[in-house]
Amino acid sequence: MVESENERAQVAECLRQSAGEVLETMFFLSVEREAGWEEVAHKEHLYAEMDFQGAAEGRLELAVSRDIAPVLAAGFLGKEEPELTQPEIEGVVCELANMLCGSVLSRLESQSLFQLGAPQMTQSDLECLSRMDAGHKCVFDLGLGDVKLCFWMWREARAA
Amino acid sequence: MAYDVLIVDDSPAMRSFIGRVLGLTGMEIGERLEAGHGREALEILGRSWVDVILTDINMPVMNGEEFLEQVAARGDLKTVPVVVVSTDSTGTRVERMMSLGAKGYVKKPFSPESLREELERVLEVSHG
Repeated sequence: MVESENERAQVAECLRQSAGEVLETMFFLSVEREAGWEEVAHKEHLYAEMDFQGAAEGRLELAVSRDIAPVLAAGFLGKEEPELTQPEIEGVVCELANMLCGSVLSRLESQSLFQLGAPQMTQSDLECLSRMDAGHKCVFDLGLGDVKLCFWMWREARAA
Repeated sequence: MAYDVLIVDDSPAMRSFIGRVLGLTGMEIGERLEAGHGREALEILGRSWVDVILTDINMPVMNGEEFLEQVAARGDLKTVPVVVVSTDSTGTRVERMMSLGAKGYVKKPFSPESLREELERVLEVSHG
């Protein structure tokens, strides 16, 4: 679908608001600034993705830089970083994706019904990069690391 | 009075978070039970009494909607308040879950204060 500039701006603002709210409320971290995609390209990230269906279809992909993933997990689980296991860190990254997706959809389509898929860890952001032009992407610098988001939503019902 | 709580969520991380936040609310929490989906929760409820249930919506095996329907159908559970804790907080979804029998709704992300307020409301805790 072709989005107007207004629609793109609306989605971008929802991504900002959702990231700020989720990170501050659940992880006690603030977004210091929005960064450029290229700025963090050299960093290693953990990737998670999830799909949604219903009033609209789409996908959210999340990348959390490896330097801040344990910080997020420690804050969320109330543990010290050395105590954390890799599955615990990945579980928190998936939960972050889940909360971000729900938050964005609630802002964009407040009177619609969605079925959210289960968030899953993935190996790379190739899917994200290949579809970059079609979706929305943003990078949030949290000081100790970054969080990258890619979001796509198709509002129109697909023909049967 | 200490409240026994059942947390139903397929994410171990979220179950752990909710449990920790419950401790931060200042409410007296007794036994804290956990289930990964609705069916497991029903099995637990078959052998344990709880004062309140906190449940997610999107879960495998038995989701939150089916779980609410099952709870409503069981006479022995009709007095146990169910609070939905979910990222899915569109107006339509909230209305649907409340129509299925949920007594409260907490939108993720949430603060300890908002969880406490909702629990106190559904449990009719008085500060008199």
